[in-house]
Amino acid sequence: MSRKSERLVNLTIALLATKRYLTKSEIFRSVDGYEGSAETKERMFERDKDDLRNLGIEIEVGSFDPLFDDEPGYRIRPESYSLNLSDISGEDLALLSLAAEAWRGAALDDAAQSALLRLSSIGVMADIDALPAMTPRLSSSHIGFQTLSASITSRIPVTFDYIATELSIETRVVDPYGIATRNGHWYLVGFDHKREGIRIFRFDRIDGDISKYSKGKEFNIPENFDLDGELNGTSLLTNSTLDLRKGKAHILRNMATESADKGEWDRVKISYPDTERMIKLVLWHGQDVKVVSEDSLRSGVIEALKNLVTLHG
Amino acid sequence: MAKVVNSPLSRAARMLDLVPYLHTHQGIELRALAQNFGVSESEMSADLTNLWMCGLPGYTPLELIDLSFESGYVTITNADTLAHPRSLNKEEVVALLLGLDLVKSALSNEREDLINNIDSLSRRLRELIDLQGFLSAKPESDGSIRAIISSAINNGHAVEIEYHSLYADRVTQRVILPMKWDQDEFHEYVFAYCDSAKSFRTFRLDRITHCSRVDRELLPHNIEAVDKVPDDYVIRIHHHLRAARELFELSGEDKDLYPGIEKKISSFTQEWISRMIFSAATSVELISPKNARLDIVASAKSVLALYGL
Repeated sequence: MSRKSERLVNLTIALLATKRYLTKSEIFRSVDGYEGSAETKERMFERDKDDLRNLGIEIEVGSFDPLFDDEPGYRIRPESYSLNLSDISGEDLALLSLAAEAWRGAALDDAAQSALLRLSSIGVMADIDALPAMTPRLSSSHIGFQTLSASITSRIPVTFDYIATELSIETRVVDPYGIATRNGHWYLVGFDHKREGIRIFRFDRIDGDISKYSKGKEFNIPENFDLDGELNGTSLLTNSTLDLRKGKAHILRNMATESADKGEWDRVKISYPDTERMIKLVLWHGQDVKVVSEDSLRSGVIEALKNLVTLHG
Repeated sequence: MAKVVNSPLSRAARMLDLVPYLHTHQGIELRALAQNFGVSESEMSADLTNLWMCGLPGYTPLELIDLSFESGYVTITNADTLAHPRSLNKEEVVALLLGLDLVKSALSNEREDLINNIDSLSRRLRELIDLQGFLSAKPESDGSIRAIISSAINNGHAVEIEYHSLYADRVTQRVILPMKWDQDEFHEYVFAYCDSAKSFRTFRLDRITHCSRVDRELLPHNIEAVDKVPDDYVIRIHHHLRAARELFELSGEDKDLYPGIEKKISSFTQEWISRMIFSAATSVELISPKNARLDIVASAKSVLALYGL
């Protein structure tokens, strides 16, 4: 086992140190660890190249003279191998540490920690004292997160089974435009091929694995795409006026843009993207909320209340 | 530390990362090095021994990496080819970008300096992998509240919190002694001794709206025995099965849920059940107990009365 890891390190060093392309025969002759028949060495080398590429190391293939059909050669350009984030200050490193720490125990924990280890090899001390005391945290244990993060970087459509409102399973094909987290939930926002529009998917409603869509073509994200706008529904907000009983309905108070004292009640103005959800939120608060306007919210609440009486009466 | 898988590939990756790390941490203690890389000391010694056999083609002492670690302190020479840290892969960049966006959201607007730094770092990280996709993370709870509670758990001191109880729709002030973090798939909780309730309680972190340290000693005392058992309720799910499953946290397979199914659920408070039935907006019906069902009717009528109906 250690022979293979040593060989990979030696191959990396040899390909990094060379100023010209090294041919396979030169590699087999000079790099320690390539043994056995020509076929065995060939197989070893192919696997080693794949392994290094899986580590994110770019191996360049070229030939000595493009005019002749020479044996191809290989090398790793130091500028593509090395981390280049320009100047990193102690404060930057502290911010990156906090960013990596937010993943502790969550889906991309390993990736975040290995990134941090490399950043701390730059030779800068993290200036933790420059930051306010805070420990924000991300939650996610969903399988498929890695696939999705890979897809969003490679612009390849993904496919997955999605649990619909009545628990039926629908297979979706989506161009992933963005990943976001709000209130402990993770969302994928992207172009749904079948519905021909942008849709939002909650990760925990994805049934099983997310995989790359084999028939998919590379896609481009429209320039006017606005991830936060899609999630907040800011393009189509409805405004309403509600009366909230004093000392109650704290969730709605937090959403209020204006508030006026009306004795036993406070009159507030709120904006929201989804009337159906707002009806449920108003209903949750029972006798502590009354809708003054707008009409569809008011009539939706009244209708639901009448149905509740009929259903349980 | 991150979970370590000891495949030859992960070991090679670790060896490649060890070289630049040692270059900037010459003389680091072997124990600290192992800890920082999330491996045992013996695994780290094995990695260093293997690395010692590596170097430029030729593999004479002139070309081999030179390491010294017998004394328990590690130094490295003759490894200039690998002295620069490896670039980050796509997954690592995505992880850092989401983490940075979370930190940015948690910072107050007054720290414009740090926000500008995060924007600059994010731009450079995106360029590293030519990222086109969008990433956005908003914290579920205030990062500074979490820091105060973490410090309280570590140091055993009490905190005063303002807590929004969702089912009672009431905000209360409490002095609590935080003991440990708990979490489920979506949320984080603080398990604590609550001086106000004289009992142990679990608080959902995002419902703690204010938190400050209390400088008096608090030890659990006069703990009230909790012998209350939850009451059983039966609900019938008419439609919106997914929403009902999530709202009532129903376990079991999806195929076991169908329109019209009746399910038994438990709750310590009828108020909670009543709010859930209201917010389900007739997709879920409360079947029993009968008095709770009649209460739903009475409550709905009293809300309708607010509208003059």
